[in-house]
Amino acid sequence: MRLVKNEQKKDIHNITMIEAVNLALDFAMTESEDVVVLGEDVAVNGGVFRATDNLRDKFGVKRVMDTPLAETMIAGVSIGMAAQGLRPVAEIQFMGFIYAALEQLIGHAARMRNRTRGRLTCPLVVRAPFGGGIHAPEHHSESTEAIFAHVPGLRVVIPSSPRRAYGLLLSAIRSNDPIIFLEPKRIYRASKSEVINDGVGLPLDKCFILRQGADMTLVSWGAMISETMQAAEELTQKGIQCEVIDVASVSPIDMDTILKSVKKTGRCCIVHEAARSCGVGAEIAAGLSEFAFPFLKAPISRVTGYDTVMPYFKNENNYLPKIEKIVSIVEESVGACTRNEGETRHAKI
Amino acid sequence: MPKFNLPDLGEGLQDAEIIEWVIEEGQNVEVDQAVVVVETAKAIVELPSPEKARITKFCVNVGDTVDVGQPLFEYQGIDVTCESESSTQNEVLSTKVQPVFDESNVTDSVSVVGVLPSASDEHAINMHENFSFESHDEPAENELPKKRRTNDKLVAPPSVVAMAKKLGLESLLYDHTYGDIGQKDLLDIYKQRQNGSHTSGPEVHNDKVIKLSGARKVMAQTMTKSHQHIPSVTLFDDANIHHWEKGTDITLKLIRAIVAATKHVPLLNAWFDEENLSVQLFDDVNLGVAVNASDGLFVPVIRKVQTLTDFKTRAVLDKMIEGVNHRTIKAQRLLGATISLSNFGTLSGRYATPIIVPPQVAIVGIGTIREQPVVRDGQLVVGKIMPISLSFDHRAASGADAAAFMESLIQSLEQ
Repeated sequence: MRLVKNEQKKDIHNITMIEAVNLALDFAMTESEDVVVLGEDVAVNGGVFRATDNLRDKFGVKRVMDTPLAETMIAGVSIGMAAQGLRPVAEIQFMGFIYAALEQLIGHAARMRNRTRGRLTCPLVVRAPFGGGIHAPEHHSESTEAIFAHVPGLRVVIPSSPRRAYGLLLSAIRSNDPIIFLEPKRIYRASKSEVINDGVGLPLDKCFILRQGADMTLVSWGAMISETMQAAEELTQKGIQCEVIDVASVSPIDMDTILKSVKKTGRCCIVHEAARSCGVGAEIAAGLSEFAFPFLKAPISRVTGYDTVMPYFKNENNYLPKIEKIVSIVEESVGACTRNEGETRHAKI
Repeated sequence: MPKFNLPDLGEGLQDAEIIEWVIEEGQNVEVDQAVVVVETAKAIVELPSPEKARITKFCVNVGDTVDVGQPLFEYQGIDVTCESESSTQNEVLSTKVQPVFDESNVTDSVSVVGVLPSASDEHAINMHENFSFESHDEPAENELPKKRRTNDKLVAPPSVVAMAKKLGLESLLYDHTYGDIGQKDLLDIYKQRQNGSHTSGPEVHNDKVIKLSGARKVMAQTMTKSHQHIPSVTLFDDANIHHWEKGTDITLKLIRAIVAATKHVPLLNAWFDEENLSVQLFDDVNLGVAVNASDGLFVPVIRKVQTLTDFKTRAVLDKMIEGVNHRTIKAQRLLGATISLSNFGTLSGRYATPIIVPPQVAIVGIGTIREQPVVRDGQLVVGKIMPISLSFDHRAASGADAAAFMESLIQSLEQ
């Protein structure tokens, strides 16, 4: 990687997640001339969500490129660039449009390292906004991270806050693996937090423990972190302390952290927006029953979207998992075991 | 680095106890050179090195009980050289660059598709920026419960198993006299035991605790299981052997009598299968003979004793006793009995209630032979009385079966 030397004092920004994405891209493009950005409307328009705002003006048309409406081509060109030494960051405008690029991503990007016996890597980041909650038309709201999580050779990373978006995107760009970077658009501008623009990346293979608790482990990622944290907050009032884990990298999953937590709490609920069947939650549940079975005090539970096509915006709110649902599932899990737990439990409630 | 795991030593044995390390940690050994001595169900076995190697690390200590498949030691083949590979990948986190960012104005433009909730909205949510990578507090336990023998049924929920292990009450889970056991029960029992051990009873000296090992440990386990599972009944009677010549081989006579009695009542030369409630009868009589040794009770088995001549039987018996005394007897010689004989009378005692070794159905105990007055043909005469105690599994055999066996036994002895 060629590095461009720069000198600037520590600067702190109070920004939203979408601005954090922009900040990380800016830093990475300044850090290395190999980083290029391409996608539909990313240059002149600065992206439909403004993730790439100002980048064309700052880094020029050779490094920030508008492409035709052809996702297969975006992925294919990016793979070619990556294999030959660049670090492309491609944007798929909405995750619902990414399927045209699957042949390139699954058939080529994911296996480049293996195919060439390590001679070539594919340091490619494909960014795509995903998830519901913004009342968008069809194809704009689904959460199909499990498709990519199932493919060996791809990393799937999902930030859930401005700081994590900044740190994870930087690490993703610096990583030599092809990475599907899914941005939960519902929380793109939901809130601001302070992000230090120091170029420090966050690990791609670790879960983030957002909250400590001894009674039950709540595992989630993406926009659902918000509901999960609020549920945990509500449960505190009922005397139930939940540990909340942001998986962040749904592939590969840091099962060690999740296992350690569940061995402590004995109970686990997985919350995700994606449809239930064959979701990433099922994989986590399977891992828990394999390696934490003797520690479980209640069955592993899931709060998820439904096994239907993501509904249009009128019914969107009925589809998305609710705080009340998480709270009631937790209460059920914890209550289910009151008889066995002895005095400690009784004393707490 | 390869590990040497405790191999399957045959006969369905599930574990072994580490008796002695023959070599030092770090020592080089040849192929097949003995490394460690283990004891399985009373027999001692030397385990050899699988290849010419350096034994780098012992994974277990002397006195440990090790399950089949668990690692015993780590070794490194001597001809193999190990190159350390420097990791070339992933400079993800290591890259440190001087920051650069122009205060550019990032605008909060509205998206062309859909409506994004905005930070300026009154419904702005907390972004939960604080995180850690470590779950605090110690987890309940890191290890999974030990593997158990298949016929020990464990019917407790996982969390109860975990807690029992933590409190050292795991054995309760296999003890069905407690019925379904929960975490609260475990806590209660634990507290009860804690209090009990501190407030009453004699003064305790830790150096006076005898930790059972080897044969004595196996004896304790077998006897516990037998006592908990088998509803046994013991029948007592005497045989008058006044007509026996001096110097008669009593054990040999007893063996012959038992063989004869099993012909008469085959039900007592059998194995009882408590899972399927069935009795397996045998044509062969494999007689387990209890032999007392300083290390504990041993029951070597004389196979097909009904086919052996008296001379041969005595020879086999002598060899087995010698094997027990020198601890050279093979594990196979201690397994597979179909009925047992305990001649405790050579030491002391008249009658006893011998405990049956499952899955066998019967055991014959012989007490000290004594002279006492008996009535024969209306006359009071001196008789030579051999006291016999016969324990049998009442699930497999009835009282009448046992009585018939006893009658046959006495008949043979008094002939």
